[in-house]
Amino acid sequence: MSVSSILWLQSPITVETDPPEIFSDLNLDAIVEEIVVGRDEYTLRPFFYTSLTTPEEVGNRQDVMRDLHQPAIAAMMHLFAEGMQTVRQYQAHAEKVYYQRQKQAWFLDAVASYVETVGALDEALTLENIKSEGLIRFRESLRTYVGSAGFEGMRDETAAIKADLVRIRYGLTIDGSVISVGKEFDPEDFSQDFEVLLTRFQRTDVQRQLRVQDSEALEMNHIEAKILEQVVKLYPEPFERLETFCQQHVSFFDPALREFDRELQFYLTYQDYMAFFEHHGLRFCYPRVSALDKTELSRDSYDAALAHKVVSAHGTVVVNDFELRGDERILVVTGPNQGGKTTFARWFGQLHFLAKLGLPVPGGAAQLFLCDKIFTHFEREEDMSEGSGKLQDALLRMHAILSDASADSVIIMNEIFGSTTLQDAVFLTTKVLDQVTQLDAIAVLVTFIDELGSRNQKTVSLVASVNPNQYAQRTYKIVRGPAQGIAYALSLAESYGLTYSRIKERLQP
Amino acid sequence: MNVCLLYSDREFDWEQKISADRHQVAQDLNLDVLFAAASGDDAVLATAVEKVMLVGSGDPAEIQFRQEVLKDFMAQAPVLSELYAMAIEALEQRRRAHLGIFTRHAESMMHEAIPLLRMLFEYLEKVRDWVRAHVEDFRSPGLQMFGQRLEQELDDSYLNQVRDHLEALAFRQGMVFSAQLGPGLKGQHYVLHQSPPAGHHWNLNFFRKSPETYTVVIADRDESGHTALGELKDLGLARVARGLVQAAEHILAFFKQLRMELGFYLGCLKLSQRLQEIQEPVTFPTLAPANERVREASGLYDVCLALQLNRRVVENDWNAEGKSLTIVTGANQGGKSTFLRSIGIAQLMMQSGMFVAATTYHGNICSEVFTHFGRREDQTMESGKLDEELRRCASIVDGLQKNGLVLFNESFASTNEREGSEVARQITQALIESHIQVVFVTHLVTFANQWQDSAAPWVQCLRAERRDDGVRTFKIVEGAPLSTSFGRDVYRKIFGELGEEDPEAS
Repeated sequence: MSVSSILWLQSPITVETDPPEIFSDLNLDAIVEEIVVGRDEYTLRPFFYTSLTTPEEVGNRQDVMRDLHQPAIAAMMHLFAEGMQTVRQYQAHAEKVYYQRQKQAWFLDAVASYVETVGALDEALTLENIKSEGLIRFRESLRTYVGSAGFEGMRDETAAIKADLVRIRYGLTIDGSVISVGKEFDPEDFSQDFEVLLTRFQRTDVQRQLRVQDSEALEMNHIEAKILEQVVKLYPEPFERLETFCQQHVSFFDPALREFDRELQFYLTYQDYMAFFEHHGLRFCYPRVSALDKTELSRDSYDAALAHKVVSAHGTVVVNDFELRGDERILVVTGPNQGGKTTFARWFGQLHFLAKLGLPVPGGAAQLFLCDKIFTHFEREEDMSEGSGKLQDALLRMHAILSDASADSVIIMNEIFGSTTLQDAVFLTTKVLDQVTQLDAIAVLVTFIDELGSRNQKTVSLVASVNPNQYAQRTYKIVRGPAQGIAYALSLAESYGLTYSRIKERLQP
Repeated sequence: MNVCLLYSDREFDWEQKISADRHQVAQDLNLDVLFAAASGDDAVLATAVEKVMLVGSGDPAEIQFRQEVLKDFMAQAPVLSELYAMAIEALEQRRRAHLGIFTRHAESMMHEAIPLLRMLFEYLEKVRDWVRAHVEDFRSPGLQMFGQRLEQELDDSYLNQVRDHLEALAFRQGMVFSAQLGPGLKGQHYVLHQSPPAGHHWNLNFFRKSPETYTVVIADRDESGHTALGELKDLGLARVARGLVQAAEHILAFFKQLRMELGFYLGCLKLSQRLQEIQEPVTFPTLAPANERVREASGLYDVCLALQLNRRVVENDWNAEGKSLTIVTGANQGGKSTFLRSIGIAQLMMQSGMFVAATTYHGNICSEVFTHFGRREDQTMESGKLDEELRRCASIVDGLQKNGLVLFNESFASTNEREGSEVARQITQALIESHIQVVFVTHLVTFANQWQDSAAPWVQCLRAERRDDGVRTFKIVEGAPLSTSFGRDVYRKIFGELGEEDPEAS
């Protein structure tokens, strides 16, 4: 079977094996680790390290993702992935166990899961309204494979052998060290009788539930193996058929399906990631991307890494907007400490990177420029050098960024010259700002220097705002314009919903 | 089989979570003193009384149900103590049986569970017989129904049947199982079958229709083989062993429930004995529905204060018929807080089914009781105090329903008088209009006067009594707020005489 990629337009492609440099500054490493958690078997990280360059490639992935977002299709793909996991698990069991008959039984189960999973996907896909080219091509090749004589034969034989094995029932008597194995037995269940007798003491407040466990061990011990040999003597035919089957179907797993299974995870795992947020009332959207238009917009968006933490701790996530209109290119962010400025810078970078992966981004709506590269300049905590050494290092990094960046780049600068005097910082930051302006790149500049927001027509001044009704409480909202803060007892009461009208509302019958 | 001595139709849930607000109420009302007095030297009694009081009941039928049971037990104190002791003894069997350290092995589980079960059934029989002997003296529906349930669920023929089954589990004739092939061809779905009667050869009986059998014999020296055989038996016996252990657990849970529910009544009994020693009265309250506004009390006192001082304390008569809001003003340390506490404690005692600390008491049921007490000791941290007060108040409003009761004590005094009064006014007004009852002890003069001036029929203004010579009686009497009273007495105490009598105070 041959299947084209659902990730790439031209394959084969070389994927990145190491994370891009910007990952830790933007907390993208935390995001990707959260996305791929529990899916090590698929080796998905390279997919998230390798970004796309053209709007067509982005469109291709968005189309596939839209298809996979239809609940029915998402459900069948999850079933498919789970089924494939089961197949691999049973194959591993067959490798691991010692007794030959056990190996054969696990192999049979692996094939049974395989034919069932593949068959079910084929059947389900024909019923669905698929629009993306990637999935349409996959559906066609799957149809051919499942209709082939080889696949059908394997499916029928598997079912027949399994049915015979399931029917086997045997009796055991134990007297001292003698075990007898036979076919017939007295059907009454003694344990059940006794349980019925004691039901009148059944209570709901007893927490401890003892589970009846069938042995958890995969392996048989030699006594079980001996008993099994007696069972084989009682019912020989199905075991003979099983042996032949195993010899005939050693390479049953189609490599093309294996790769599809892996690429599919790129989408499914991201869907799970989105679902976590959506479950808590936070939205994702498909960004409109353009390689030409540098006006941008994002509504009700958030830093996914931070939001994940906050939501997990049952906190409330603050959503933010931004917009670049006309000639505007540079967002200059000022405001109080801990007001959400750095978060804003990270979030801005995350949006652009996720869009470049062809994925939906946090927020209610987004229009983003498809940049060629993202650069970040954050203060390095690990840098031990002080004073002039540190400043020099910061300037060197800034210089490298400005020489590599183009008009199509995104540059994110966070408190770049915090290690020097105010005078120096004003001078250096202004210089950098002017160069970025000249370059016409899109940029974010987080700074404590107030006057830079109105430097030129490309800069926009944003402020981390303070709640006007509360004692200097931070809102984590980043808005255009100045902040204000004033507090009274009543407005404090208002903030707790304790005014006359608010209480009346809350206590409405 | 259920205990059902606190509710007619269900058992009390001892695991239910008490809200933070409720714990706050207990702390503000100083209820730990009451719980300690109820416990004697058995901490379980304190727990039982605490839980029942803090959970409370808003249903007059339930409250009466408990009052009746408590009256029976107060008349028959030794019967209660004996039943309580039986429950404890039964629970101690568990420790003796090492049931807590059950292994995974079904066979050894059975060896421990079977004797324990035998013992527990003996205690069940004992409880049944003891109740049977006294049921005629009981008037309450709660205890009469309890006796009936014991007779129905523990009839002799049933007890015999249980004994027979326990005997059969000795497996004197070997064990008989059946099984299927599961994943990896390992045996699964083991079912245990009844062994044949003594004297019959089981093999013939069991495989009677198809004599083809194959035998596996485990050599004496094959140690791992014998371990494997043990595991096989454990699989076959797992279900019956689990059933036995579960049954034991369930019967023990019954005794635990019995101990706790009886514990509440025994705790009440101990509390009433303690109060009797210091000549404080108790009375069973009569109930009015939640939507009425009635409180008619005589000799109402703060039971926790009395227990703490170990003597009789100040009593108040209080009539608040038709009043939704009671404003209490007056001198510092004049008995206002004590009065407020006595109201809250009486409400909780009444709604737990207990007697109340008064000579007579008639009052309406509340859906919920909340306390909002100013924290004077926090005043050093001025900046966050109002914030903290408001946060607590918001939490109370969140939990409120129609016909709740909120007791405010010096609330919103952490900002200036004008602002504090306005905050308090808005909150109080909204609560009253939402059918909440409020008792508000306050120094906020603007706030108190607004209500006095409104002359609304549902407002009652009370004042801590101070005689003309400045001496406080700690009694709470009808009276309008005095605008200059607060702080003066304390000032005088600390700074000496003012020099002239304050004209407004008289």
